[in-house]
Amino acid sequence: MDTILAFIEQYPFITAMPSIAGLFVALGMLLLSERWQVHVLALIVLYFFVGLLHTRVIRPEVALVKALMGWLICLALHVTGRYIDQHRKEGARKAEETVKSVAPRYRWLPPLPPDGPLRSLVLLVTVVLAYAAAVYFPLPQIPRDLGMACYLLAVGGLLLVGMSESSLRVGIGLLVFLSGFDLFYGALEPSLVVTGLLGAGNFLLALAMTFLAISQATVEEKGV
Amino acid sequence: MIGAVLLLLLPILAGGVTYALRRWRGLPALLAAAISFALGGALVLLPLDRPITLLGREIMLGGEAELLGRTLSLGPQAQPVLAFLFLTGGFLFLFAWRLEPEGLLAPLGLALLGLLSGVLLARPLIYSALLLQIAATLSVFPLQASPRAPVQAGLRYLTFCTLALPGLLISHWLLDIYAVTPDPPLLSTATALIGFSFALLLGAVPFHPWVPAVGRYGEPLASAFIFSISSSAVWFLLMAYLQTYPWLAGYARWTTTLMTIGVVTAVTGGLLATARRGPGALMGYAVMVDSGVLLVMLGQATRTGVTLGNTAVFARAPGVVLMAAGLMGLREQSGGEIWKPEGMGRKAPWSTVAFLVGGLSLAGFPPTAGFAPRWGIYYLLFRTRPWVSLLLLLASAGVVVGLLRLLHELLSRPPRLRGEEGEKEPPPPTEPEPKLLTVLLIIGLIGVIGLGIFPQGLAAAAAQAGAGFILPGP
Repeated sequence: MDTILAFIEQYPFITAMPSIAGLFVALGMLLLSERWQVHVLALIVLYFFVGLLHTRVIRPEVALVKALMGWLICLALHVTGRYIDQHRKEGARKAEETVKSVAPRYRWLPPLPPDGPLRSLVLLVTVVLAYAAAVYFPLPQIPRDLGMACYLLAVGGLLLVGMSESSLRVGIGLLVFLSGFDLFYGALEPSLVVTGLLGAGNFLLALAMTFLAISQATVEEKGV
Repeated sequence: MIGAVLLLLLPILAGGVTYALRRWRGLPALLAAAISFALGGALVLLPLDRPITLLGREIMLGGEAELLGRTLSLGPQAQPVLAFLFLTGGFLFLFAWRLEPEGLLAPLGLALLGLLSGVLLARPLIYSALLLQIAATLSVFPLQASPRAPVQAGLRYLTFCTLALPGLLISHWLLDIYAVTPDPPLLSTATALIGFSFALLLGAVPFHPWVPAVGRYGEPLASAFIFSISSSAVWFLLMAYLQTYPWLAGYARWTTTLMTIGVVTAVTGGLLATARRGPGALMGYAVMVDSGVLLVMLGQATRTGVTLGNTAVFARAPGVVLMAAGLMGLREQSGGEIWKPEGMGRKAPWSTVAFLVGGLSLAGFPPTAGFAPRWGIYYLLFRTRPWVSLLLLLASAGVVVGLLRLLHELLSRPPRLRGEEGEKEPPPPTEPEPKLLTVLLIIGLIGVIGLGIFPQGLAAAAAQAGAGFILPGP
């Protein structure tokens, strides 16, 4: 803990624009990829940078707890993703012929969705919206760059929710949206009870979404 | 003064215990029903302002209590509301005992009752908003208990409830700032945020998609829990906001805004109810109509309007519970979750009657529980705004049309008996509805019609629940 704090004290600039750039990269991974492994990795990165930004407005110990809670959520999502993958592989083994016929032709291509250009545009729109909002509607009580990070997460989360029907992706979108809100609200309301209840709400939300994702995978499998 | 703490913690702890007892089929639901009835009965019968003896110790049920440094306040206004929540929960768990003995509704529903009690008891209101969000998240598990059901119900409900949270929390902070530095833009922003959040939570148009989705894809009894108990908690939380910030109702466009949103929500619900989208969706649309009527009543900003709104909230619960129980009975009798309504009216007559009477109660049809408050609402509006009254009546008529269309399907002959080959076959053997379920449905029917004929109890409780509000009108 002391090492982390000392590092942040020595290089305070990392809690400013580099962290926002990190959030942008994480959002890009979430928006552009369809693989759950990439999503979990992106969330780990996102919670790390959100934790760093938190250190500017709340006590570092509380910021660390928030980051740890975020990584715990990532663990839950990872377990769910693996479970669903395993489930799908079993289903695919049963219909091996079908799997062969839909095997990708260009294996060297990165696993990007077919609507990649549209998603790239959405990512760009997110950044523009976040920047414009931070300039024209600055959030009170927090520095402008932190406000931009909040907007970036909130807009990105909302777009993730709106762009998918998959439970896991919608859940990740809601978590991203809430992390943006938490970054702002943490500065307004430093109460530990509020922090605890928000954290508990986030964790329960992740559990509910993993529950829904497993149900959805079961329904899709039975539908096939 | 531990009454408030007891109402928050006891159901949550009991929910954990009942969850552990799930291996004994039906026992959790019975235990949950017993605890709910006991707590609801205690709230109705025991005095809040005098000490009572419990396990040899004298305790005060009413007053303020502290939990984690936060205040929980149980006063005469909250008493009938909490009693209503627990009694409705008791009836739902009783139906769950027969219709969903291995489901998640009983254990999690009990915990949800504790959390929703916390929503109504906790002060300041940010804790209510946070507890409401946690309760909404927990509701997803019983709502999507069936592994074969599409997940839209839980997904949409959770999404809309989550999006409502920031507005409630930030508005509280804005109003704290306003108390120190009175700045009109702060007030406008806070009002807009509160309005937006409650529109999401109540399913007002255009934030309504979660309402029919919960009815259509969710487990019927869990959907009924959300439509009756959770929605009531949201309504009374809104009342608490109005009580804490009385200038909200004095907002210049209060009446126009709420009346417009209310009428649009009710008319949209009524129109969609006429479409053939299944009985679950019909329940959702009927709830939309009811929510629209509630918003119109709130827009009146008068004591009579609030009392009638509270009565309508109380009257919604028996109708929704009966409708959900009837739907579950129909599904059970058809032998699966994917069912065709054709001919089910003959196979499950009591479930059919329960579903229809519950639906009629939601539409405000006489002589059901929903009629008395609706009659009062139409009467009140007809003198001042006859067009609004007429539109609300038409919206309710849409629900009745939907019910009639469903009744036609339920009573028609199954398709396979109509064909040439089918006519030669003997009709499939039908098992009568289980006796215990029939008894429960008959009790529910008597309750819904009884409350329609003798609505005084509901009206008195509604008046007590709305007694403390500061409103500009009479």
